[in-house]
Amino acid sequence: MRVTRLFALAVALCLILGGCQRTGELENQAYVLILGVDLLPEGGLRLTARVPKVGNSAPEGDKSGGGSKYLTFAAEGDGWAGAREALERATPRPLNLSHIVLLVISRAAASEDGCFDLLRQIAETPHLYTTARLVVCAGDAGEFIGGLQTVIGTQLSAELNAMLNHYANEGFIPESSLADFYYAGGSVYSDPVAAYATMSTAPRSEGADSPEPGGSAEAVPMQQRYEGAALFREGRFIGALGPEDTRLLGLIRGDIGALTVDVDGSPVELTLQGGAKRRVDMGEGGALLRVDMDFKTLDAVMENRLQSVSDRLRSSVMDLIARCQALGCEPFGFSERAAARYATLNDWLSCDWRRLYAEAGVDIRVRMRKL
Amino acid sequence: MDRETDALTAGTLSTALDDNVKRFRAILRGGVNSDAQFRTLACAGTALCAVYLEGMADDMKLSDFALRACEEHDAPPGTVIDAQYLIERVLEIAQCETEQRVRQIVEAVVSGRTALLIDGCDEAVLLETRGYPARPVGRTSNESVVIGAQEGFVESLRTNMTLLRRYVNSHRLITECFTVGTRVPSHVAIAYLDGVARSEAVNAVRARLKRIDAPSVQGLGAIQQHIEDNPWALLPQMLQTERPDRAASCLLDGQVVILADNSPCALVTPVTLFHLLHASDDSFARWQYGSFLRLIRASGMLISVFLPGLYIALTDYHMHLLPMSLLGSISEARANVPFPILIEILIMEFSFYLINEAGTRMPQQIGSALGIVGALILGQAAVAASIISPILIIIVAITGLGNYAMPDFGFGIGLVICRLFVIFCGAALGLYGVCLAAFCLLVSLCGMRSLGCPYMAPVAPGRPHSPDLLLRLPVWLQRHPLFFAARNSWMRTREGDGR
Amino acid sequence: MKLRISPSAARAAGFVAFVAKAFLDNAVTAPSTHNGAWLCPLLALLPVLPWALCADRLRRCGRRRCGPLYAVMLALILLDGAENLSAIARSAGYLALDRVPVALLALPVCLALFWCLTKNGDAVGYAAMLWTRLAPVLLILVTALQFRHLRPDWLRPLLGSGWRAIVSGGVRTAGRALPCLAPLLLADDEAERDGRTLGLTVLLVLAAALGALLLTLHLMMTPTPLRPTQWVNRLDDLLVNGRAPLYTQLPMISAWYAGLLHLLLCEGFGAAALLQRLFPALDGRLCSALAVASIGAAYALQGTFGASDALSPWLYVVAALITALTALISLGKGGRRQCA
Repeated sequence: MRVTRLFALAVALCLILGGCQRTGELENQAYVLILGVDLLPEGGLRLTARVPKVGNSAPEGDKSGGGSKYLTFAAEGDGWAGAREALERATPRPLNLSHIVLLVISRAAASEDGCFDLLRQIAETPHLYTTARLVVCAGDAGEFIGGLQTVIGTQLSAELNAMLNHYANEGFIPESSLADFYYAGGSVYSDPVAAYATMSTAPRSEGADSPEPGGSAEAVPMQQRYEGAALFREGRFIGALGPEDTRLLGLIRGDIGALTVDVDGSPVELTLQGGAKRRVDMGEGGALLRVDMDFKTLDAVMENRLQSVSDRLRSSVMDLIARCQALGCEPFGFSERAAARYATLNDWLSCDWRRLYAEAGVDIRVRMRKL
Repeated sequence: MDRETDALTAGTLSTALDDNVKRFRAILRGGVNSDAQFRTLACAGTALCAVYLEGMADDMKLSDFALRACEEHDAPPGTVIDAQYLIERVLEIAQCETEQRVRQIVEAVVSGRTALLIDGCDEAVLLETRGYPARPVGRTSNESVVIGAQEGFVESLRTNMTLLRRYVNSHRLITECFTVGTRVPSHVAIAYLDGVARSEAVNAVRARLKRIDAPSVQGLGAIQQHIEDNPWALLPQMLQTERPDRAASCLLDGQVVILADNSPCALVTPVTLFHLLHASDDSFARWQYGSFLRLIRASGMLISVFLPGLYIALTDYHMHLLPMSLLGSISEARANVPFPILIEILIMEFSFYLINEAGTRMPQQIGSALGIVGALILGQAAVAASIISPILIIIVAITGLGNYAMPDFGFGIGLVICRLFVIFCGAALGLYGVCLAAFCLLVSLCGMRSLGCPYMAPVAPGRPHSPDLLLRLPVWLQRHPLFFAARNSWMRTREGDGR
Repeated sequence: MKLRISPSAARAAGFVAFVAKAFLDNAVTAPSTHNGAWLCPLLALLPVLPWALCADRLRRCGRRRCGPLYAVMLALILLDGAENLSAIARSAGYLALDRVPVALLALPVCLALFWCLTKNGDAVGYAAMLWTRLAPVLLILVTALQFRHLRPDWLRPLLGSGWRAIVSGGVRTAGRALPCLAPLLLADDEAERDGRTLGLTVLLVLAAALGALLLTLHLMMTPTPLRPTQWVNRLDDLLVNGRAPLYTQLPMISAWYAGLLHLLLCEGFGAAALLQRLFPALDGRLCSALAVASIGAAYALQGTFGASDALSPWLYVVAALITALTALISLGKGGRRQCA
């Protein structure tokens, strides 16, 4: 009985001591949904965080800015640790980084040599989980974040997830999260990619709701456009791809399985059969990058156009690969294929793949069938 | 009491009727105890005395089939009227036996039989005249089923034994009667199928019942606590059932059923955890429905034990495991609640079971009002007053439903206590605490035994078994008798039988 | 209380612990073999299987002269148990309780371990049997959720860091797996009447194959890193690798904790039972308390995580030598006659 009492006391102590550290009630935390990273001219970082309000939802019909469901906080500091500490001080609640949906880094910050180290520090932050989408934005990340609003839905996190998933499924942006960037960037294989976004001021499209019936269309201050891929070499941003090239990249990587092409003014859907087959042949003269793609289409327009379309596609792919070779960036996944030819990691690492890749020949085969 | 009474009840009868009557008057407190009746009569010139307790014995049966028969009997002169003669030639009651020992005679009289003392004979005749008022066989109150038999056990041991016999129509069904309680004996019976139940199990039950050293054992609940393997365990190691069909099914599986006088249920042993999840209508319904219902019940068990603990672990420590939309809803709901989540849960759990208990004790006439008060007013008012969050009401309601899905009442209460343990572990240590608690519970279950049989068998340890644990597959696939049964059980399907 | 375990329970506990240890060791603790990690459990089978067969025979026939072997095994268990305890505590700290001292996080596990050990060996083994039924469901769920993101390309180059590293990894895995198999040495035939169990060879081959399969799946989740990574980052890679939505990590975290707890429980029982074999006068509960306290003390004295790494290739060698010597002595001196 005495032993039982001692045991019960020890259990109680464990429970009490273990619970001494409290993370805080969940309704009292600031959940960062979007985090922006900008490089300051003098070398520090500025972090911008978008946080939802809790317990103070905007009433229905309230279109005034005072009823916003989200707050934006910004802070500056030296490096990630300093900037984060400054952001903690600027925010009236404990920061919770576990639900970040979007991590936006400015083009300027991404182009620095220390970009990969910075993103690695972010990814390795405790309780910052790497499921966030990584986006490189053309301008200021803080402005980019400030302009984000819910359009169709009512919750920003759900809206962003739905939108980015839609774009990724269509191939407008690559399928890439912070985790993908972190692991690929630090791996022995291909270079990572991220989504590329721009901001523009454009007139509101006709037919959209306007506050006054019959009133003139107003210009929206900022519109975020996600329509490309950011290319990296050794963890540093080196260029961006446009929408069409991004879709081709997605096709080759296996992120998407179909493509829509313009044939005599009509959009035609081409479905890739069995994915793009990538191969790397190593010989005395260097490496040869091979891509085999088999498409099928149901569209009648393609009846006599198969050869011309496949030639056009082939030349687009070759052009894309050539540009990436020139940039020294390998986002296609050829390195994984090439690594299969070596028995050990040391053999693979010593083969100087970057040089082989930059000098490699390219052989693209595109076949099309109309069903 | 009573060395004097002990001395009186020791020993056997004398041949002198007056001495015997005097002895019984002293034992039964004849002058004080108004129930004790001493009816003198004669049979063919021999003086007799019927000793019985009014109310326990049936007066009409006694008068019509014993007293009248004795008084109207003509015996040839010189006939010695003794107990055997009365049984064979005079008495018209079906069950009679002779007895010399005073203690046994007293116990028989106290249980409702009548003792017929004979002048000149040192044996008494014990007549089966029990006729005390008893509840008729009716529907079960705590083990309702949708389809299947609706009868339930009653307080009369004899009736319960009869019910079992009706369901198990076999000459191999053995019912052995005992008394337990050193001072105030209670009648207990064990039932088993000879050749199906393992002899070790039957012997163990017998030995454990005989080992009970309490002065009085009232009801099967007390018997269970005396004989179970792990009295400190949270979960029961015997099945309590109100249903004769359930008990009969257990007999056919090689289990031993214990019945007790004044207990409207039966105890079944040995059992496993899986038995506690089974209900009678699983077998009545088609296998698809039976399997589905069992899965629902198993899910209910897991939800009942782990849902509140998981909720508190995820909301306090692992918010990242909650989708943002759900997290937002919970945050909004909790924005004005002043209590931490642990206190909220404890308030709700306490209120739930307080309402539960009050509903059980409340008189029937005003019982229905409690449902309205408890469910609507208290819950709604608590949310409106921001004492608790609405989502917690849903959590606790689902948890409660999961609990009520358990067929065994004791098992359900045990799960509630397990749940509290998981809640505290989750509140203190998050998912780590919940996993530790689950692990400790799992190992505890694996270490429990029921009459020496592992509680988690036939899964752990593995034993050949029919597909009738979590899923109830078709009856024609159920070829293996339960591992409780004897190795050479005659209940085994013969080779080639069935589909 | 006499600490006993039936052969079927011992095999189940050993199976689960072996798989957990092989995975933990090669995926998180010391993945120096990288892409070749999946080969380590299979290679480890080569030294472990003869040891297990020898231990089983000793258990049945030559128990009387096993004192030195018991002592060596006890030491191995304390060493390895400390490491496993550290893994659990650090996992708890990483996942949520990062402000609680790691040493304090080990205390609930120690209490739970003691509680479970008082249920005796069969409870340990039966819990492992149940886990073998539950774990596949969790693992299939985890694999299904991650399936889209599994890349077989990341398994290549197949030999990873090379043959030397793989052989060294195999021997290290064998050495670390031996403490998990201590219950095989302690099983008592009398403790079981109707036991059904797979043969020891089949069981260990299955365990090695399962360990290899799990490692293969793990290797397909993330590409081989260029630079060495820390223990916590490898754990993060395993549990929260950013592919599937976060809420789908719950089954993975549950499987991780459960696997580690079974591993520790198996070793804890081994330590307690060995202690009782060495000092038969001690009660089982006291042995359990001493075993848990010793593992806790070894953990506290361990210092930096992985301090036993230098010893681990030698653990198997030492244990194997002692076992072989004991077998020769026991079976040579009429031990075989006992089994006749």
